[in-house]
Amino acid sequence: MSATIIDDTTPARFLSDADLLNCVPVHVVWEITLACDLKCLHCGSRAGHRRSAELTTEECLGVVRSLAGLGTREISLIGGEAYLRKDWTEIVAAIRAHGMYCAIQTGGRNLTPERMQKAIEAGLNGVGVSLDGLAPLHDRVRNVRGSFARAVDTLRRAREAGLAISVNTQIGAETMPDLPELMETVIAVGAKQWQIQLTVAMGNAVDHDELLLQPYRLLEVMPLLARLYKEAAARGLLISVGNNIGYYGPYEHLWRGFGDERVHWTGCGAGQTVLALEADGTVKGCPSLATVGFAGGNVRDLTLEDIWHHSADIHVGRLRSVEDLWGFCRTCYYADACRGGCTWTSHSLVGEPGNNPYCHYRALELDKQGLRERVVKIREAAKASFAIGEFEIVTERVADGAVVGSSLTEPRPVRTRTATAGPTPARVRPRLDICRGCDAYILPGTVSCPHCQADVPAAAAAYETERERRATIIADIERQLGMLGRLPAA
Amino acid sequence: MAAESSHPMPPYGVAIHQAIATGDLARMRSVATSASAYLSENGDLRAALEVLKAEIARAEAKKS
Repeated sequence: MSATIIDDTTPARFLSDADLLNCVPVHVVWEITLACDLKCLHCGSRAGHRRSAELTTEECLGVVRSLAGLGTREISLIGGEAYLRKDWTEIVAAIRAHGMYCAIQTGGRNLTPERMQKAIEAGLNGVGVSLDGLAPLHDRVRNVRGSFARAVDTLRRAREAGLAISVNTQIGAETMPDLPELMETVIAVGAKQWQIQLTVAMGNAVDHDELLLQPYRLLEVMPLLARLYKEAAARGLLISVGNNIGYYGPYEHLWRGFGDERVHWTGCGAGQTVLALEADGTVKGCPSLATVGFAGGNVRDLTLEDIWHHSADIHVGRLRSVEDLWGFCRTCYYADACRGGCTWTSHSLVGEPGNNPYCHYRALELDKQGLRERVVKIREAAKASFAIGEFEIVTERVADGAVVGSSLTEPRPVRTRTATAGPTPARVRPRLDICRGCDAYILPGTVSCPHCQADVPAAAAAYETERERRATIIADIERQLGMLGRLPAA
Repeated sequence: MAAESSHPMPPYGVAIHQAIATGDLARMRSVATSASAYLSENGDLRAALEVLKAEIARAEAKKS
């Protein structure tokens, strides 16, 4: 079902059926420099020094024109630190001149008042700042003492200057205890959106694998996030989850629709409606994916249009089917819709997408069998940007720790890649229904819920009755407020 | 009013700044906030109406 009505208030990143079918790169995440003033222990791109031969100003402006022509509506500038490029505000201005929304994601260490003012004058719309825990944890993970205070100060100044602000947080092995108090900080600085994702085993995070959350701890993380989500919503803060948090557990209906429970995870979107650029002009389908294996070309060699439409290496989200899945994911109830969750997360772990232990449904199903999964590093990552190592996914019995399975012995799919004469076709993703007995997602047409055994049509009818009752109550008060000239903003 | 999309919006990089809460619960909260604000600004209208009715009754009694 498509329910998208696009109007002036629609967020730039909302997707229509047409966006999906036509593979419009609605959202672009662009690393404009790898230079960075932080030394994060979990940095996947190993940011710090500039890349050799980063795009010139003219080349960047050419990219902006190409993206506008492809239908891009939003560009997030990242690094390293985007503000360490001398011409970064010129790039912001060009993006805004084409009517595209422009924000930066930053660690906030040196987004000085002067830099911020120039960016505002160039038309910058918003700032996302990363907070990876309370000050002690954040400073340790970001590897710069005082970085938390600088980040919070950046948020305050950005809000006071009228910019939209948001916070990103990575969940690692030590983050959970910090989250409730961190949420207080996020609310106090006035952020309205808080995006949460898992730390992934890439780059520096492989060197510091003690930072990684173990998959079985999703059984603790997800109920905590659900509790925080509901509390935050009541206090005006929207929590959204990154693509590697999920999937289809009892809280999936909370994560992706901002209250629209029809919206659920529908598989990796890389290369379908998301495009990414590295600072030297390398094009990928997702900013997080490894360069090796997922680079689709370089804007210095090919036009961006040709890369986007014809390079199968970036069309990850368009291509994957159940045939590409392996391990637990291959026979999962949600295989066709989920398609292995976040490509970045699973590929970074085991060198192959399609088998993702960071899945709430998977952790719950294993737990029912008295099992759980751990990831164990077996190879270090190279020192290159976006390099991955290798991890073993160990399945063990909870009761005594006995190992009963390993990703090293799982058969992997045989992948073939066929060149296409035209753009790789895409599809509108499968839609699941929601069981109103337990709020879990179910295959369309299911009559008896496989999760809670509810009579699905009866539960749906009862839910509809309840919804109509609520609508009547809302309409009555709105009518009275309308007569008083006090209707709430739509 | 922000449109509702049935397609998830992959959050990469920056969070979706323009997103607002949708759905029945968000709408009920919004209406409750407006109603509460009105009541707090305008006191107890029902009680004030009872006082007014009493005054009308007094005024009518004087005229008769």
